[in-house]
Amino acid sequence: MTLPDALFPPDFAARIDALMRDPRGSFCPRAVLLGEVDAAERSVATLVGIDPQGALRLLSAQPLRDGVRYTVEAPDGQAPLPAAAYLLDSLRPGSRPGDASALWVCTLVPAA
Amino acid sequence: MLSWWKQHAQRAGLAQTVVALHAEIPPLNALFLELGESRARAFLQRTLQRLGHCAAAHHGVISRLDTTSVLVLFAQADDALDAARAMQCELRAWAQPVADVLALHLHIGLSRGDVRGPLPQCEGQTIVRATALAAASQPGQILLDDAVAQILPEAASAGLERVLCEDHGFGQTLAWLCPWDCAPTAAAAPACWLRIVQPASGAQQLFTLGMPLHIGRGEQAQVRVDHADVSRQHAQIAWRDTRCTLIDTSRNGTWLRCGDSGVVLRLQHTATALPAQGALYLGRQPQPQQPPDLLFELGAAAARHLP
Repeated sequence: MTLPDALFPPDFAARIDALMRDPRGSFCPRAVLLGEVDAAERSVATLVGIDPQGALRLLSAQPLRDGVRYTVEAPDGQAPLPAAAYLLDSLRPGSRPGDASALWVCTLVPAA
Repeated sequence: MLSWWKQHAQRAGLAQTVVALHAEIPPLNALFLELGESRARAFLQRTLQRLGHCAAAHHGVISRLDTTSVLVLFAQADDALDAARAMQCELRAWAQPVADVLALHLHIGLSRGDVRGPLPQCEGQTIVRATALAAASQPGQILLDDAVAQILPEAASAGLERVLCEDHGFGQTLAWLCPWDCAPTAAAAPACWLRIVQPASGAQQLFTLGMPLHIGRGEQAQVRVDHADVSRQHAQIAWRDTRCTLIDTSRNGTWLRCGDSGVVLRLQHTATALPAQGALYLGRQPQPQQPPDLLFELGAAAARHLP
């Protein structure tokens, strides 16, 4: 009587570990509510990253404006974001091959 | 983005019309047995999160994401369809290194109609319908309901095929099957190499495909750059298929200047594919008159000379 062949090759776990070294996708993207601090209106944007200094990376359909204080709120039931107000630090159009047209990648830093 | 998804509408409980995309990877028991629960979950979570980023890059708003499925809402049907196709291609590319032993397939359903409630807990028959279509699809299929198919621009609806599928709980149902295909990947390069030059010292190093390459101030780094703004383990260059990926792991970030275009990208705990040639600034932003920390050239053909 022989044991059945192993389902996965011996290096399978190492191959998975190699895949996991690629950091794209390590942040769980989520919806946030974005608006100007002094305005009541909020719209939905997608938060795609938070760096160790607390800067947020957001995807938006319109470019955000320099010098405007923005508020970024987590939807009900999700962990709140660290700062009450943010300023635009940098802005660039989406440039990856898979990015849709009219997509802006905005970096917001906590306002002093 | 759903710029029209206004807070006052949520508060008033008004319905909003969206295209819901439900994508699901069926349970893979063998993967859990092989890797153990926590590693298998981490791998599937990363897989779904990559797909979530892909959908977000097509104007999708993530409503829900877990280790087996993701629900994304779109304002436009053609954005949703583009996202569905891109997600299938992303999964194929991501899982390619293990594709010989692990069959990862994505089932996608798209439905258009009203949803209610604030994100991310919104609900409604549109979401139920998208989930049911995903469940009724065969591995790797994208199924659409009539409401999505009817409003697609002519170019986007080309190739849709009417199919009868098994809708669990509702019997058989008609849907639209959307074809998709990924752009062919580049053929493997016979000999890929990476040349790195440190302009400050003139030192040159040549690397070939293999283990990840470490850049930093630490003694373990294969490419050592020693100034105060550089972290000990500042960045990694990993080989994937025939492409090199630059991964920043530093405290101060990395700036990549792409050779021909002159475009400068800032990386901070993120990654990007390396272009054929360019320059790296480690821990400090490029300044006029300041030479880069590293110049690089990547290729499989005859060597070119770096400046």
